[in-house]
Amino acid sequence: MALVSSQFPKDTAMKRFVFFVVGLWLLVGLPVPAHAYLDPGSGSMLLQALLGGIAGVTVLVKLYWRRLVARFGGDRAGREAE
Amino acid sequence: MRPSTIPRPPLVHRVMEGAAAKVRLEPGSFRDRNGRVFYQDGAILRGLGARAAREWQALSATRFFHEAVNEGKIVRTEQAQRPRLLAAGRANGWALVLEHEAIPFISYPYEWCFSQLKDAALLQIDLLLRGLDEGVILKDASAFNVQWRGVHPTFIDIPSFERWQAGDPWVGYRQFCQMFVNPLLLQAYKDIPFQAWLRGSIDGIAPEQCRNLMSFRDRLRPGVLAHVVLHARAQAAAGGRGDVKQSLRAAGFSADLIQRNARGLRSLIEGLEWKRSTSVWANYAAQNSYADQDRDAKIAFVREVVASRPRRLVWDLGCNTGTFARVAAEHADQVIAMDADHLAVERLYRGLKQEQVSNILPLVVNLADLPPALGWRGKERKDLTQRGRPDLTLCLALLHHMVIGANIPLEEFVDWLSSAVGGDLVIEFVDREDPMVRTLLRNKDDIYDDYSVERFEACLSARYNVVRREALSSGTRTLYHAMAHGG
Repeated sequence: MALVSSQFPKDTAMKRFVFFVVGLWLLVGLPVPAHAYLDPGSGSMLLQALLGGIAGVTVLVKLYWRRLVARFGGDRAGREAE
Repeated sequence: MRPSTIPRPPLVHRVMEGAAAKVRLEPGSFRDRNGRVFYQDGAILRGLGARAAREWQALSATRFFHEAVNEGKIVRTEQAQRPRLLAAGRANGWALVLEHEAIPFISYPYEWCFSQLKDAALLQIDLLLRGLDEGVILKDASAFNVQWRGVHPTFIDIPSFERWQAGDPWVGYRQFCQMFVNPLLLQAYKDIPFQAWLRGSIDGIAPEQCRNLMSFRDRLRPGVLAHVVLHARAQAAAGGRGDVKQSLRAAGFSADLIQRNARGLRSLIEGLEWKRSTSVWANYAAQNSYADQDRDAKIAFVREVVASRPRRLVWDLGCNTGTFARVAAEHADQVIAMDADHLAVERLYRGLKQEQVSNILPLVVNLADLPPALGWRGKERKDLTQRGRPDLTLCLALLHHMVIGANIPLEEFVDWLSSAVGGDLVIEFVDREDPMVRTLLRNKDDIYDDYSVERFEACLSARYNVVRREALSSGTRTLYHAMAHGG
């Protein structure tokens, strides 16, 4: 786990595990849109949430949940967020 | 920002109000539409638009700002009061005009050594964290926003501070990685010199490029997985996916997350070391037996010349361990110590920090490949001599390396010194019998007909008044003090 110890020197094994899982998902789980180069910085913003530990991961989960809800025609707030 | 006493760039803007007030816009200050650096009446000024003016009011009301200014970590800045300056501001449509303290000599990240880039990075993180405690964020993280007073870094771009809007991420994070983290990681883990890359790319090293250089083993080292590999991947995955800022805000992004990331970056950067211990030049003084023999005489010569009149700015070219830069610093206001060898400059910087010598700025500069003018219109970053000419230049044990080592014609080098650099000169000629010159020539065709003391003296006296000449006891080396014509 040396790879994350510098990030979260005081974090628990649980937090490292979450970092690892979300990180893995980012690495292999997301499709790459065609216009990423037009929008530099958006990925950096999302990554910051991940690097903020548990609280940040909560933010990410919430963000993707809202987008998921919006995609399936859910609440209007979700669509606006999208 | 630049010192007030150096040659001005061509006039690019003119303001008429009452008496003609000439305003020179800084060509490198255009990226932020809300403010611009300009020069007038010898002052370094910054016009602010209405929005930036409000941010300035907020910043100047914080405690950390005034503390950081007093600690020298932010350039001293005040609202301009002089009527002429205010008039120039009004005529340009600025809501407010700030006046900055001058930096002795402007330098760029591609001229810094590893520890300088590291200290500049830590300064930015420090200011980011302290600002956030009082609701102010550094919106960008350009390494060009840090300048040096000797070995002390200082932050110069006041409009980079803005009030943090609840829910906003740190927009400068990507830039911070490109200009600080990735160059430092490449130097620390891969021994890849970052200077050439930062000089070739004004926006730094992208996470994607940095990732491609990292082996599997490197990915397990601190910082690489998070700030390089995931960063590259997150960018690829997230680009073009709507308003991320708005989504993060809605999902409850907080300042605490920025602070945690910043603290992580701080401990990562503090832990980075560049472990290289040898280079051709860094051990030069230790190996050079002639240094001892002539050393005291050279030191005395340099000391007398520097002290003979007030010296505002002295350049020490080929400074190596900085012996003569230190001697010059005893009497000069500022010394810029330049050497092409990164490790030599790194050692000098660390030494000066320890000794607390505050008026020597060490820089990595290869004289055979000078830092050029760069960026938008080729004016955003200035070439070396545009940033302030010295009134004295030291060239000790340098000429043979330029002429024989780098194939620069002797006459051209002396001509460059007199025309582009200017000022007085202390220069050493090392003749062909000297073991160092013999070593340089050992495996080369001797095409250097121009390398003789007669030729050198002719070149020198055609361009300078040679006021003193001293043969050193080794018998192969001669020192000259040459003064600029009319100087």
